[in-house]
Amino acid sequence: MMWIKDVVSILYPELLVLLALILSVFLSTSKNKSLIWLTSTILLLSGLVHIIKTQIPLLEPVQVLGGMFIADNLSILFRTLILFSSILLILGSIKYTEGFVHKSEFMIILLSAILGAMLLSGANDMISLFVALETMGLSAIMLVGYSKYDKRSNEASLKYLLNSASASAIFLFGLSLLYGLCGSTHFYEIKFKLLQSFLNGTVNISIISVMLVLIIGGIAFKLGGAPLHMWSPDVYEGAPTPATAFLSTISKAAAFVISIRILFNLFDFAAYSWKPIIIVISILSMLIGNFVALSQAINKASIKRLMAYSSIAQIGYILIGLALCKPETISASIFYMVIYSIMNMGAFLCIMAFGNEANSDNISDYAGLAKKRPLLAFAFAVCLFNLAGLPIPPAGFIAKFLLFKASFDAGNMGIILGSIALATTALSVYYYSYVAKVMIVDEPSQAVSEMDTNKDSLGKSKELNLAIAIAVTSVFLLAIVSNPILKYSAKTAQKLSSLEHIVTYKK
Amino acid sequence: MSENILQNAWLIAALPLISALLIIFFFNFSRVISATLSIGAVAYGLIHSLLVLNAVYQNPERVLEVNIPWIVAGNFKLFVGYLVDPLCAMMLVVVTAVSLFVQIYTHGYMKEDPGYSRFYSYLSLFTFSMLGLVFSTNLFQSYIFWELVGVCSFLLIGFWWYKPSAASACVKAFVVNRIGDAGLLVGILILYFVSVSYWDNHTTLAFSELKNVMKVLVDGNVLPVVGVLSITTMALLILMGPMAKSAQFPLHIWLPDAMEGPTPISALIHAATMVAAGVYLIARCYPIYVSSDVAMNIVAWIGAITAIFSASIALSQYDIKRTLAYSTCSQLGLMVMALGLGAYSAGLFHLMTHAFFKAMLFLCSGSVIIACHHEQDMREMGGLKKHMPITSLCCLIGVLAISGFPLLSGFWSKDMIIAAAWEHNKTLFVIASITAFMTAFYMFRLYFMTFSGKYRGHAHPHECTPAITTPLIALAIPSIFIGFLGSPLIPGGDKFSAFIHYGEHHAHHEWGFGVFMHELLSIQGLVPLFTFIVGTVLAYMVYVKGLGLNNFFKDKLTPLYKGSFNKWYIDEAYYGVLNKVIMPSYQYLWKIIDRVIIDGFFVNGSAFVASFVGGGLRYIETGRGQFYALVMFASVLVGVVVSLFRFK
Repeated sequence: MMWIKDVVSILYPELLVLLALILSVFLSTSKNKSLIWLTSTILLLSGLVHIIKTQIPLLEPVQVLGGMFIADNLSILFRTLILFSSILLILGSIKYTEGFVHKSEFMIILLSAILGAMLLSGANDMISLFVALETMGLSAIMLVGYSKYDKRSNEASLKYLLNSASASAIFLFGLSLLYGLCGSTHFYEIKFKLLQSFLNGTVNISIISVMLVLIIGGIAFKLGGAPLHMWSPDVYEGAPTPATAFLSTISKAAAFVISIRILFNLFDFAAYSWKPIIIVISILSMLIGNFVALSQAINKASIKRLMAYSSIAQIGYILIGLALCKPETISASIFYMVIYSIMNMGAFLCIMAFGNEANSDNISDYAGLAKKRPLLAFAFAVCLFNLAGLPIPPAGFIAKFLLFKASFDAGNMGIILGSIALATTALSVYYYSYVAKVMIVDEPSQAVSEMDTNKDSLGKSKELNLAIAIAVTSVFLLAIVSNPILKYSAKTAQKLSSLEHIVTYKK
Repeated sequence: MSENILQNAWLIAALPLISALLIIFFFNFSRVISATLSIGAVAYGLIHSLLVLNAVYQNPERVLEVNIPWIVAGNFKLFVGYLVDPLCAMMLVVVTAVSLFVQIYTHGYMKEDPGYSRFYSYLSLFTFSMLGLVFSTNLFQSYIFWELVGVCSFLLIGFWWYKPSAASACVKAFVVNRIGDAGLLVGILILYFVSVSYWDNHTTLAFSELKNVMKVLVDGNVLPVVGVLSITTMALLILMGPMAKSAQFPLHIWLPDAMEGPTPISALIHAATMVAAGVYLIARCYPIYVSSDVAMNIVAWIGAITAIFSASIALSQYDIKRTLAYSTCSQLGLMVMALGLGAYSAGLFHLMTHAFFKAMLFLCSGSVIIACHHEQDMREMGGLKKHMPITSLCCLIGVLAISGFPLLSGFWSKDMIIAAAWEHNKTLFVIASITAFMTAFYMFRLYFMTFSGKYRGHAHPHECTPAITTPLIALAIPSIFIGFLGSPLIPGGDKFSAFIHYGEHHAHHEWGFGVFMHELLSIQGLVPLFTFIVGTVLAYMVYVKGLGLNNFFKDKLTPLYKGSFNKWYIDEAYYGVLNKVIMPSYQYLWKIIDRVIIDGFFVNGSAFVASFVGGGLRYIETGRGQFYALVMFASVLVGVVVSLFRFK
């Protein structure tokens, strides 16, 4: 019975999320609906404590469920991150759910999406990978369309469903080619057989690169990288804000893990064939994301739409590290993803707080927020400045600095990518600080001045404020004690694969 | 036990930070809790600092350096930590002691101010930043705290931000410091990049490694000692930071204006601690300066020019706080000069004694200002000795100490500097002696105008509450006695130089009354004494007996008087250069560069590109989900086709 003990000890956080889900189902039929968030938060928190206490110190990767699930550094780091941001998200969405017609089911679907994201981070088998991916994806579709009587939400949900189905089809096509070549679903076996037949000459590089295009296409959809990003602005804008926050942080973090796992664990020998794809996606994402975000800011569009393009741009930066495939760049990317998730979650929590009180997500309605809610404006400005990479406080700056430095040290391609990143970052400073300027300098807008008297709004929420406080505090703390995470991501990048093989297997 | 004290020294800096955060976030409603937290934290700090000083004094060779990696990415490493050595231990005691007394004083001074709690939180924050600077193990960490003390100073000068003069003073301080900090940053970066391989296996930019690094740079001929890009330029760029912070000519202009802040701030930040940070940084970076004789000479001359220049301005000022501010500039100049002359211990000794008596003098001036109902003009004072016995006595002690009355603290430290100047550079000796004479004159002018004679104002002066007078008395004690640490009158001779020194020290271990008399009766001992007597007597004659010397200067030597009164027109010169030279040429250039190139090409161009590209891309976002799916399939198809052709 040893294996049960192993499974429980490794999958403990996931089991707690599952338990929270089941409890929520029961609680949602009872009268104590308000207990749902409390039990979920407590269970997730104990999962977080468990993973920090028992799994982070693990030295060697542990596989459970016959190799379906792996707890290596990468999966542990990102499961911790997902748990942390999920707690913030759950705390933040309590007030928001009061605006729905059906209140309690939102949390259940959110929990199942979180469960999917966590399983996806540890998936080490094509079957568990796909099941987890679809658990997350389908739950996300439901979350996006949860505002039943809101046209925009319905439209967003339908678009997401259509596009997600197409992306899944592409992804699955890639996986089926892979299975056809190797006859196995387990990643380690696939790697072994693929390498063997590749060295024998029974598999040529063309089929591998076609497969890679398909698989990367599927992942790039989840990451929201250009040119497969087009769904995201519409979906982000139409979806309820907690769902948007989920899509832009947790879902991206999980997709990032799976892209690292596939690119570096499975296809490290074919790096020269997938590198150009990632480079193209990265450059396109940086350019499109930043340029369109700029025009969104100038046109004073919806803040959620602006954040959609901003997160496309951020994915562009993160992919730089993967495209250059050096241990330093990968570790910088992982670190960037961690910081990005937290500060982006913070920004979305602030958007939620503003939306709850002012019933709006238009940039021009943010005018003068600093005069009415100085702390909220401060928190939002901190998150925005960090997303822009300004050193106030320097968490986002450190992340950008390390990523760009690693990229400039990584040869000619790195210099090109780094220069594009630097130039577009300069653009991004404009639109992030533009929002901050609107909040701080401008005279209060009508929406802001009516914040206290607005009858339609949901009002203030203590839990949401707590979540914002935690997020902003952790941005500050990460600026001061970034070293443990840096060390951990460096270790992760080192262990991913012996990357020197890339050169030897070429041709 | 002593090891424990040293290991936990970081608590001294941590507690004020915690108290600042607690006050800002939780206790800003309660005056009592704010004051208790803030004073409690720094009182603990003083006790712990004294224990640290004792532990370090028992065993000066034991230097504790703890480095915690902050950012480690490949070869790029940054550290924060704490360094406990004799210099740090001395500064800890100075900072915590002055801070404690100033915070007690604040309770009396600010009790009617609505921003009482906020003031305490800033004070705590400043104390934390200053202690962090003192604890810094490396240049990078000190740069962070350097900026933090700058921010605190900005906040505190502008504490009464609704006064236009305070608002512009804090901006001026910030801008001038920015100029200095830019130089400092460039200097640090040059140092980092020329020795980048050295830091691979050492703590990045650590003070303890500076000596070895400079040896590598000089021996390996990595950088020439003199030249456009040389050790001298690096040293001078780093010097720009201390020049701005320690108000050295020509970056001194912010300090007198900074007196717009509340008086406790003037005492704590702009007299005792933050302005001394520049001297402290020069002392920490001493290996860099020692490597270049040119740099050392420039340091000495900048100090000397500042000393005599500010002293000459202080002669004719009527604002009591401004007089003290120029006196601070002048004394800081003496310290910098001492460091430039190689008299490391003498400069730091003067830093310590000056911190105590100058803080006390500022607190006295605050007490006077309160008594005269916020009147700062000395022409509206006079005769306050009767009304304010404690304040006037403390002020007299401070004035005697700074002017160099024998056996008081300033006498010993100033003598040490003047003796060093006599030994190394006779011109600087003359300048220092003239400065000493002027100091005695303007300080007694201040004392006589304020405390003796008849009261000329319209208020009803009275002695202040114990919250104000107790710190005065507490600071008067070290102002009298602390100088003996560096005197030959105590057993074992000059303890200070034996404790804090750079390389081989020149401290003389012979002691006794005979040694003292022998030193006093040499030229370098008699000249300061003589300048003290002449300055004092002259001030007495002019301001008590009514000798018309001041009118003589005013009427007959008008240019000199006007020059001194108008601060030698430095502000006007800056203003003129800015308005007459820089702004017109900037406007001219602006027309060409900005309008045509930047605006015409980059801004409009990029805006055009951005709006064109962005706007264009926006239209691709048609809002039709089918179209998105089509793009997705199409791009994957393109990818497949390209990769098929690529590996044909």
